[in-house]
Amino acid sequence: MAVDSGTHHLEALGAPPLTPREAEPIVQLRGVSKRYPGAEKHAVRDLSLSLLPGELLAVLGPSGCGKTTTLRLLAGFERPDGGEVLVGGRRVAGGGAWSPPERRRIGMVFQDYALFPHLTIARNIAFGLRTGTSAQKQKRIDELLDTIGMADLGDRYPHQLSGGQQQRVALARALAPRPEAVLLDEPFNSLDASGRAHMRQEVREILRREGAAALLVTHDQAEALTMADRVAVLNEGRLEQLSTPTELYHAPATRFVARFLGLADFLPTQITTHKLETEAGALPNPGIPVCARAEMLLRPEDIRLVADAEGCATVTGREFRGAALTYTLRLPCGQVLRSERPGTDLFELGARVRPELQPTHVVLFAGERNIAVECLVHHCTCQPHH
Amino acid sequence: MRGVQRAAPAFVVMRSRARVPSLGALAAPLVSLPVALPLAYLVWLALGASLPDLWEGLVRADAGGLLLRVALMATGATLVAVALGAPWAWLVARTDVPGRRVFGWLGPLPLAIPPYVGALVYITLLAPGGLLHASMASLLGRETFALPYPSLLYGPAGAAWVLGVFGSPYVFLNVHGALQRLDPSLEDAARGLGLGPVHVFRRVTLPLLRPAILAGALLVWVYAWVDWGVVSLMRARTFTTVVRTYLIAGFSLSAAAGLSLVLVGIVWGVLVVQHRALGRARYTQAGRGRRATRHTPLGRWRWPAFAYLGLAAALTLFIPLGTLLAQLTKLSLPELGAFLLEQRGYVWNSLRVALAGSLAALGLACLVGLRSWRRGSGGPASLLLQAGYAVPGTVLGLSLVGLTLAALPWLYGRPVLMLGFAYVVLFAAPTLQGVQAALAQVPTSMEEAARALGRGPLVAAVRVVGPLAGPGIAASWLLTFVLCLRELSATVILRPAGYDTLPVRIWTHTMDVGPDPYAAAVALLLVVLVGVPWLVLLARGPRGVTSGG
Repeated sequence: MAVDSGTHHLEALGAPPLTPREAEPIVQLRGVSKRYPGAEKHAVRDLSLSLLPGELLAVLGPSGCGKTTTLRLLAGFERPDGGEVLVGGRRVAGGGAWSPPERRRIGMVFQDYALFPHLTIARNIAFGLRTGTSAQKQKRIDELLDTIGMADLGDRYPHQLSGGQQQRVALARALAPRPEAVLLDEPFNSLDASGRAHMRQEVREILRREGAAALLVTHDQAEALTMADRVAVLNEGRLEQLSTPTELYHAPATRFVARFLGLADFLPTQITTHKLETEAGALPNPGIPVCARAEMLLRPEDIRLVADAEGCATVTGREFRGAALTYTLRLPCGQVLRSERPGTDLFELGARVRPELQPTHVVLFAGERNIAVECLVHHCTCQPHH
Repeated sequence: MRGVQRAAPAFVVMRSRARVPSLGALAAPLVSLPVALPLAYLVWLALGASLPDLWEGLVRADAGGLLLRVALMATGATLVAVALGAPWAWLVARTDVPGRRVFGWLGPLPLAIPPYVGALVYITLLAPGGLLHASMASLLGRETFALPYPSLLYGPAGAAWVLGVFGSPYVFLNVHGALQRLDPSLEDAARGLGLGPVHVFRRVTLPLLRPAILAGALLVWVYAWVDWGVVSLMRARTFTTVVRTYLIAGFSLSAAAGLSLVLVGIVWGVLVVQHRALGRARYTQAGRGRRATRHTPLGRWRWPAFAYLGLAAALTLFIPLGTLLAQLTKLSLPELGAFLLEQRGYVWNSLRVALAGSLAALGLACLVGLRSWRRGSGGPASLLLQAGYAVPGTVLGLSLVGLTLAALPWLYGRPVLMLGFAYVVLFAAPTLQGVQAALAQVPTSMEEAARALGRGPLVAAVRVVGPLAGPGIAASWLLTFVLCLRELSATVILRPAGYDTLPVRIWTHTMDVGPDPYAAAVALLLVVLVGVPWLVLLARGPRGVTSGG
């Protein structure tokens, strides 16, 4: 169903090279469905996902898309109605099998962190350490306190820490028993914008040092794109696409994904042997088979504007964003197109302009799904297909 | 299957356990049994008689007249309780009345005095030949003295007065709690819109308090319907006294059951209406980052208000305690000591059954409470508990006596089991309320975090949920313990012959011997036993408090 190709992206980040054959998934959902009693719709429907060793997989979607349910199904807080859940190749739910959360060896970082308020930081981290001598446990606690940069704060209580510190403790606590994978449920929700950017890096770094695979649930596309090796986009309980962040952005499989990740406009396109013709201009056909009708995905940064009294587009809106300006244009047929320009590229409202299409990728849609993806730049990691 | 287990010890796949319902799932039948069984038996008893017989029974008991009179009595009691409790709460919470701290602290204290002890007090004071008559006679230098309206003491009017006076703390607690939750900035906003203090009170404070006043009033109203201790001592004829008379005189059990069902129906109906009405009108909201309350200056009404609070405190607290203590002074110290020593058996009985009942209720409440906490909703079990709470003690007693004699005669001689069972039915609901309130302070993610860290449900409960919700759960248990300790109407029916508790002693002594100093001594003993845990609970800060038989 979805374009699944993310592994080569890891090489770019300096992670150990993996090929899909080598990498046995740590955690796997196979055709899992879940409907809550009394609910009309499925929270999750026929969902298949796998988490590979050492990777950070983000599950991204609008609120109510089933991403938290996915997490709870994996952790064992909900039972699937159909399909199966595997951890380390072992079935933990579905097909008559059931392992409670404490038997799954999956760590979890909760949205509210859920640090035990009556225990110190050190004892919070120690909570999941069940085996080993007390010296071994102490060593592990010290190691983790060191990793999260809070070596001298082990005696504090959770309420004495800042939000970011609590977050790191929650992560350390989840990692302490060396789980197969950690699940992070909207972990940056309760941080302010500046703390959020910092903690994203911080969490990524801690996970890398621990070599832990992680599944991150978020509704924030920037978070998913900056942090994750691969992103699974969910919509209404179904998987829309599972890809690397670049591919997700440049070669979205569905219109939903295109719209959910950044601004997207779709222009009706005539495909001929040599040209792709739209109302805002034409592009040479890079080899896409001729067919009757399609729509081309255009991102605001794909469109340059040239002042031209004879231009076909009218500027109807201008939004100042500091470094850049986002213009809204209207084409003769009424179609709206957006263009992002540097802050110095000024056009007045009502001005006539000529759009110039300079997309890095050509993505054509017919209906909800894409029918062709063509990459126009070198060294791109996306996989063109027709 | 076995192979899988051996291959992977870390992942014990529990194919068989998945089919076995968890302990929490057993809660619903576990709860429904004690509550549903007695009620089902009542219905069966009532159906045992033919319809004409049942009708005749109801007519002979004058059910229609009874309905009217009890409704009047309950309404009177409610008016008295609201008149005393609501102004008390508002004055201490929102005005500059002198001594408002002291009065605020005194407000919930009268709950340590069970209403039947209140009845004893008023009989001691006002009955012919009582304290007031004696002191008036000696004051006027006459042989005897009679009050102008002696008939007002005994009968529905006297019962309404006692029920109202000693029910007023319920109104106080409800209104005071609502005032504390009410964001004072709402009142400030009204001031800012140009309303004077009187208009702020009438147009903002009072409407916002209406649900709390209504809740407190309904508690008193329902209590008047189900009470048996006060009305029997005050010789008022109500459903409960008629049911008990039928039971003792060995009249038709089915008629008694029919009357009981009418009563249960009324109480349930009122509670359902209340639930609906209050469910819609929950205005009071916890103000975030609340600022200090401004206290409305009363001006020239300060001292009249103070006098009103003094009168209310005297009626609910000082006169009852003073009367009981005055009675004690009639006994010499050795007499008193010897008498109190004789009571130790009853004290032990009371503590024993109260402990059994409250612990059983707590166990059940924890089971149901944990389940509803995890699911985020009450479910059928907690509804059933509410239903049990609304069964009058007398009715439950009648039903359980019949049930045990018919099915489990061996239970009848075992007071701890028998009374413990009754207390669970009666008080599991308030216990559950306390447990749920305590658990609500703990996010469910706490337990899930413990589970995700590899700890089983038991360890999670003991090491995480227990320590976090423990104090609240303990307080809930203590409240139930107090409720069990002062329970009279079911206990008096269900105890085996000779197994008296302190409430039963107070009642029988007052009925058989009269309101003499010995009755006052037992009553004071009970007030102390109930008062100490009550003070402990109040020291934690008053929370939702519920009435009990």
